[in-house]
Amino acid sequence: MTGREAGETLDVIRTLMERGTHYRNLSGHAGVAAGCVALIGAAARAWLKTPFSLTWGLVFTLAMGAAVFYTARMARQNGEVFWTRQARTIVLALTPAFFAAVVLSYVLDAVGQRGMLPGIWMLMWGVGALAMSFFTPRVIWMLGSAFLACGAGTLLAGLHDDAPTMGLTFGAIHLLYGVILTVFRPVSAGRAVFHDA
Amino acid sequence: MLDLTAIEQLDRVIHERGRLAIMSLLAASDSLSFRELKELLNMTDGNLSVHMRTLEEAGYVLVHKSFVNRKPRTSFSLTDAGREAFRGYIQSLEAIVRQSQPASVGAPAVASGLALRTT
Repeated sequence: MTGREAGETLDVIRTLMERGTHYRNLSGHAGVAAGCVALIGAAARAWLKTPFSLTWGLVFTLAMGAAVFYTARMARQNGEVFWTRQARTIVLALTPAFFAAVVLSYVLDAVGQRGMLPGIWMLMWGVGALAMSFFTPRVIWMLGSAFLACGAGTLLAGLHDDAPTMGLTFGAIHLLYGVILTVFRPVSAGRAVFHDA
Repeated sequence: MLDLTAIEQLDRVIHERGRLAIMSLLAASDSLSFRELKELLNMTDGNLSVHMRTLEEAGYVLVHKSFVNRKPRTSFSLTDAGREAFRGYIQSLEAIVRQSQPASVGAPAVASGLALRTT
C-alpha cells in the first residue's frame, strides 16, 4: 500500500464514519403531510380569513404531529427504535433555531410587525434544517438552503401577505421535499463510498 | 525507502474493504442494525452475513438479538477488542502516510482526528 492509497483509505473511513452517525428514519410522508397542512392553512387564511395566530399555530402543531407520527411509524416498520441517539442529535440541532423563532415571533407580534413573521419563520426553519443537515442525508441541506433563500427573499422584498408566501414555501417546498424523499430513499446517499473513492 | 513494518502491521481482518466499511460505520455508532448496514453499504444479505461472521469470529463485533414491536432485530456493535483493532489499523495507515510525506505535511492531523472519533 502506498502513502497515497493509505491517505485515500483514511478519507473513505472518515466519510463512512460521518455517514454512520446520520439519521435515516426521515419520512417522505411527513413532508407531504406538512406541505398539505400548510397549503390548507394558506387557503384558510386567503379565503376564510381565519385568525393569523390560530391558523399558523394549528398548522405548526399538525405538521409536527405528522412528522412524529410518520417518523415513528417508519422506525416501527423497519423494526427500529424511534428515540435513538441520532434522533436526539437531530432534535438538539433544531432546538436553537426553534427557540429563536419562538422569541422573535413573540417580540415581532408584540411590536406590531406580524407581517415579517413568515420571512422570519422561513429563515429560522432554514437555519434549523441546515443545522440538522450535518446529521442527515443531503436532502435536508437542500431543504434548509431553499428556506434560507426564500426567507431572505421574502424579507428583503417586503412581502407581508402570509397566505401566498407560507403556501408557496411551507406548503409547496415541503410537498416537493416529501416527494423527493419518498421517491429517492435517503439511505441511497450513504451507499458504497469505496466505489466512489 | 519505505519501511514495510507499518504495512505488515495492517490487520488483515479489517483490511478487506467490505469489513473496513463495516468497522468504520460501527466505530461511529453505538450500534447499527443488519438492515441499516445493508442499506448503507449496498451489500447483499449473504455478503454482509459472511463479513459479520468473520468479524464476530475475530472478536471484533458483538451481535445483539432483540424484538422491536414483535419483529426480530439483529444489531451489531464493536467490542473493546474491535475498537482497539480499528484504532490500530488507523494508526498503521497514519504511519504509512507519514513515511511517504515530509514531516511538515498535515496528514497526521487528519488521521489523528479519526483516531479521536474512535475513542
